[in-house]
Amino acid sequence: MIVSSKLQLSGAFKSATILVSSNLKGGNKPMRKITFMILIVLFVFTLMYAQEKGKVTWWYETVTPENLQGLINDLVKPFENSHPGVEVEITVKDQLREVLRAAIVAGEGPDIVMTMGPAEANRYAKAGLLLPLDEYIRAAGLDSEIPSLFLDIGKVKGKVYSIPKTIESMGIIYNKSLFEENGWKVPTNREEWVTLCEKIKRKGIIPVAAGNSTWRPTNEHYVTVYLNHYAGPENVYKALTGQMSWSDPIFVKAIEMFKNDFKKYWPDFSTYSTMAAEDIVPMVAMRQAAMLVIGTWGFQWMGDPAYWPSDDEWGWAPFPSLNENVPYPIVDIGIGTTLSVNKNSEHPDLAADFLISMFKNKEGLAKLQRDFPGEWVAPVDIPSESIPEEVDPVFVEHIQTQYKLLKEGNYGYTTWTFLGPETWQWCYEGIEKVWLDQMTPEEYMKKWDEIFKKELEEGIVPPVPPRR
Amino acid sequence: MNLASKFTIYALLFIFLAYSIFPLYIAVSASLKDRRELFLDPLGFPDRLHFENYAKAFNSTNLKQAYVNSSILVLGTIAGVLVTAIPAAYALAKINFRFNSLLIGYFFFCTTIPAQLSIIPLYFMFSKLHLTNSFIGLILLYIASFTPFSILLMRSYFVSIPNELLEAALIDGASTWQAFWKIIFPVARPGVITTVVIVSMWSWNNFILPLTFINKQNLTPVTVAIAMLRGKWSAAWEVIMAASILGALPIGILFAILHRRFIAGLAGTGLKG
Amino acid sequence: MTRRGNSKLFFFIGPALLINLVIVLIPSVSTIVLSFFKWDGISKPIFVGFKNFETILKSSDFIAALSHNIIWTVVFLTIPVAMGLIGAELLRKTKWDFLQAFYFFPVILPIVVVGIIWGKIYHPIHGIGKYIGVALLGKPSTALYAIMFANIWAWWGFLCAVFYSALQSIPKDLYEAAVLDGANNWQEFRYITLPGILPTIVFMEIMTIIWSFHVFDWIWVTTQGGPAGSTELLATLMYKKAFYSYKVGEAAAIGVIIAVLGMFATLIYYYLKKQKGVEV
Repeated sequence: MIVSSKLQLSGAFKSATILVSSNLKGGNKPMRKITFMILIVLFVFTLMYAQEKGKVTWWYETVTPENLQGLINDLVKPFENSHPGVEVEITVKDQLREVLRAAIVAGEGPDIVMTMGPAEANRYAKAGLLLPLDEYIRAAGLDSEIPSLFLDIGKVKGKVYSIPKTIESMGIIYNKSLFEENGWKVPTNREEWVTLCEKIKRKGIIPVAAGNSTWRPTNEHYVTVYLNHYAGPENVYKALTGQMSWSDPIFVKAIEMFKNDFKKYWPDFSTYSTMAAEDIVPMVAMRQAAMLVIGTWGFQWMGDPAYWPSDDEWGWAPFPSLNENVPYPIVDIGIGTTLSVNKNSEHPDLAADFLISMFKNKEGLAKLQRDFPGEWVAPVDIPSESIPEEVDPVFVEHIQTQYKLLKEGNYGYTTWTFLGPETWQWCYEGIEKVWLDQMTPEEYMKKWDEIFKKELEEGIVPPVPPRR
Repeated sequence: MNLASKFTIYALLFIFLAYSIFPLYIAVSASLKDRRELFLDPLGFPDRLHFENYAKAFNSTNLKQAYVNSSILVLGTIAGVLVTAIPAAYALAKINFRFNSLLIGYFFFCTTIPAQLSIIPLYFMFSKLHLTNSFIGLILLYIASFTPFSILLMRSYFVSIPNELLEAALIDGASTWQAFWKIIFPVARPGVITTVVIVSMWSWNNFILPLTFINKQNLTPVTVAIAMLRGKWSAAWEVIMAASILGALPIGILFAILHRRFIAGLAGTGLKG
Repeated sequence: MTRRGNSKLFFFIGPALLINLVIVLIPSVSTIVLSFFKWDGISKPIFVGFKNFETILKSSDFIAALSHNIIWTVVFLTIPVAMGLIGAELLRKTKWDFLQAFYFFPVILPIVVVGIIWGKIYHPIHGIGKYIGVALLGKPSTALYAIMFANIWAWWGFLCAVFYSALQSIPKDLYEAAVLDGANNWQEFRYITLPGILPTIVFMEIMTIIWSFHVFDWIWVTTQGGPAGSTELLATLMYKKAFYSYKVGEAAAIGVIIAVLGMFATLIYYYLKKQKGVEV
C-alpha cells in the first residue's frame, strides 16, 4: 500500500509539474491562479496519503449506510481490535462487477474481492488473479464446518479460491394473518397449490405479488422454482452435469406449467414489468396480494414499516412440490456473493486472515442477522442462543430449515449460481418471450440446451458437487 | 403582432413551463415525504414536510466534502477545456488551412466512440501511469472527453460571425490574436459561456469515470457519493431525492447567474452592419 | 480566411490534440482491435477475425436494437429540436428569458433521478398508469416511447439554451428592418433566425445523430432493455455482452458499429460543405 501510494505521488507530481510549467510559461494570469490552486490541493491530498498503516481494502456492492454500519460493527471492528495497527477500509462501489474487472485486470483493485457468485470468482481464479485459500481454511478448521458443496463449487484445479458469504434459497413469504383468517393452509403439493391460488383469486386478491422493474433477472427466480419442484433436483443435477438434456420433456413440461401459472396467478405482464420491491411487498402486507415467491433476501424488507405497513404477521414456507415424484420439503439453494483475496494484494496474509476471521466470528455473524438480515447467512453453524432477540423469528426458522434441508440433501439448484453467464441470460430473457407467446416452451428449452452445452464444453459452468 | 399571436406565444411558453415544472414538483415532494408515504402515495402532496431528509442526505453522504471534490474537478476541467478548445475552435472556424476539414472530422470521430468499453484500456493505461485515484488523472479524462464537443460547438458560434468584421480589424493593423480577443470573442461570448455551463454540468454529473478511477472515500465527487445511498435491494428514495436536488443545485445556480449576466443581457451587442 | 504558417496553427490546436490523442485515440484503437478478438475481459484474448461481426450482424437481438435506435434517432432529430427552436425564438420575442432557467433545470438532474421521477409518473398503481389503464413502461409496445418522452423532457431545455445563445449574435437591426417591412412572426423566424443560427442547428443535428446511438443510461435506469427486449438499444446490448456475458470482443464489435453509424452523420457535414457550399 505504502509503496504504491508513493509511486502514485511521483506520477501525480510528474503530471502536475508538466501542467504547471506549461501554464506558467505560456499561460495568462487566471490560468496561473487556477494552476496554483490545483497544485495546492494536490499537495494537501498527497500529505494525507503519506500516513498509512497496515490496511485491508474491500470493495463492497451497493449497500445502505445502515446495513454497512452493522457489518462494520459486528465483523470488522472485532478484527481491528484484535489486530492493532490494522485498518479495514470498505468502499461501496456501484456497478461493482464492472469496476472490479477493470481494476483487477490492471493489477490493482481491492484486497478483498467480492463477486456475484462462484461463476465470476472462478473466472478470476482461472486467470491467476486470486489467492488460493486452502491452507487458511484448513488452519482455521473451517473445512469441517462449511458444507463441502460450498467449497467445492469455488474450486479451480482442485484449489479453493472463494468462500460464499450468503447462502440463500427460494421459498414463499406469505401474509400469515390473511391465511389464518381465511383458514388457508400452506400448500405442500401441486393440487393444494392450485386450489389455494384459485381460492385467493376468488376473493379478488392476487395470489403471487411479483415485479421485475428494478432487476430484470427476477424472472429466473420462478423458473428455478418450477424446474426444481416439477422436474426434481435429481434431474436438474443430471442436466447441470451434462448427463441429461435441458430439452428433455420433463423440463419442457415444467416451463409449460409455469407459463400457465404465471398467466393465472401472477400480475399481468405489463404491470409485473413496472413493479419493484417497494410495490409488491406492501401489496402483500395490505392484503392486495397473498404471497411472495422469493429468496432469503426478502427478509430484509420484513421488519421495515415502509415495506410492510400493516400489523399483519408474515410466515415462511418452502415452495410446494409440483410433481408426485418430487419430495417435500425441498429448497433451491443459491449463493448470493462470494469473497476472495486478490493475488496482487500488498498484504495477502493479512487479507486472508481477515476473511477467515469473519467466518469464525460466530457472535458477530449472529448479530449480523439483526443488523443486516438476508445478506450474511454464512455457511457455518451459528448457535441459536447467540442470535439476538430482535431478529425476526420467521427469519431464524427459515435459516435453520434451509440449513437442515441442505445437510439432509433435500435441496435444488438455483439458476443464478449454477449456470454459465449466457445460459443465465437466456433463462431470464427468453422466458418473457414464452409469456408473451412469442415462443413455445419447447423452443425455449431447446435454445437453453444449445447455449448450455457450449458453455459446458468451454468449461465455464461452475462444477456441481455430487448430491449426497 | 396581433393579440391572437401574442396570446399563442405566451401560452406556448407557459405550456413549456408546466411541462418542465411538474416532474420537478414530484422530485421535490418526494424528497419531503417519509418512506412509507412515498411508497403508498408517490405523486401526492406530502402530508408533512420532512426537511430532515435533507439533513440526512447532507450527512450520510458527507456532501460537504463531495461538493469540494466536485468543484475541484469542474474548475480544473473548465480551465483545461477553455485553454485548449477556444483557440482550436477559432482556428477551425476562421483559418483556412489544409487539414481543417480533416481535423473537424477527427473531432467528430472522437465523439462517436462509446465510453463504456474505453474504461478497461483507459484504466490499464492510467494504472501504469499512476494516475488512478487522483484528481489530475480524472481532470485529464474529463478534458479529453469534453474538448471535442466544445471545439465543435464553439466553432459553430464562431462561424456565424461575418468575416468582414475580422478583415476590418486586420486591415486596421491588428494581429490575429488581437483580432480574436478584442473583436470576435466579445460577440461570441454567449456561445463560450454556454459551453462553459455545459462542460461544468457534464463534469459535475459524470458518474462512471469517477466511479471507476477514484477509490478513496474522501475523494469521491457528488454523483458517486449519492449513489452510495442505494442498497442492493432497497434504497432510501426520499433521501436520495433530497440528495440529488442538493447535488444539482450548484449547477442550476451557476447557470442562472451566468445566463442572466452574460447571455441574456447581451441583446444588442450585435454587429453594426 | 487567410493562409497561415504552421507555427501559429500548432499553437492554436496543439494542446487540444495532445491530450486528446493520448486519452481518446488509444482506447478507440483498442476497442477496434478488440472487436477482432474473443475475450472474456479477464484471461487472454484470442484472435477470431471477423467472426464477432458475423455473429452480431446475424443476431435478431442486434437487428431489434438497431431498429429501436433508428426510431430514437428520428424522434430526437425532430421533436426536441423543434421545441428548442420555438422556445428560443419565443424567449427572444418576449424577452422573458428568466424562463430559460426553468427549462434548463431538468437537463441538470442526474439521469437516474429523472428515471425515478418518470417511473413514478408512469406507475400503474400510483401514477397516471392507474388512470389510463396501461403500464406504459411495462408494455412492450409503449415502453420505448414512454422513455423517449421522459428524455425529451430532460433534453429540450439544453437545445433551447444552445439556440438561444446562438441567437444573440444576430444583429437586432435585421429584425427591426424586417418588422418595418411588414414581416410577421413566422417570416422573422424563417428568414432571419433560422439562417442566422444555421451552423449551430446543423451541428446539434449531427451531434443528435451521434449521441442517439450512444443512449444507455436512459434505458438502463428505467427498463434495462426490457420488457421483452422492447427497449434494447445498441449500447445496452454492448454493455450486457461485455459485462454479463463476458464477451468483450462482441461488445467491441457493437462499439465499432456504433462509431461507424455516428461517422455516417459526420459525412452529412462534409456533404453540405462540398455540394451545397453551405458554410457550417
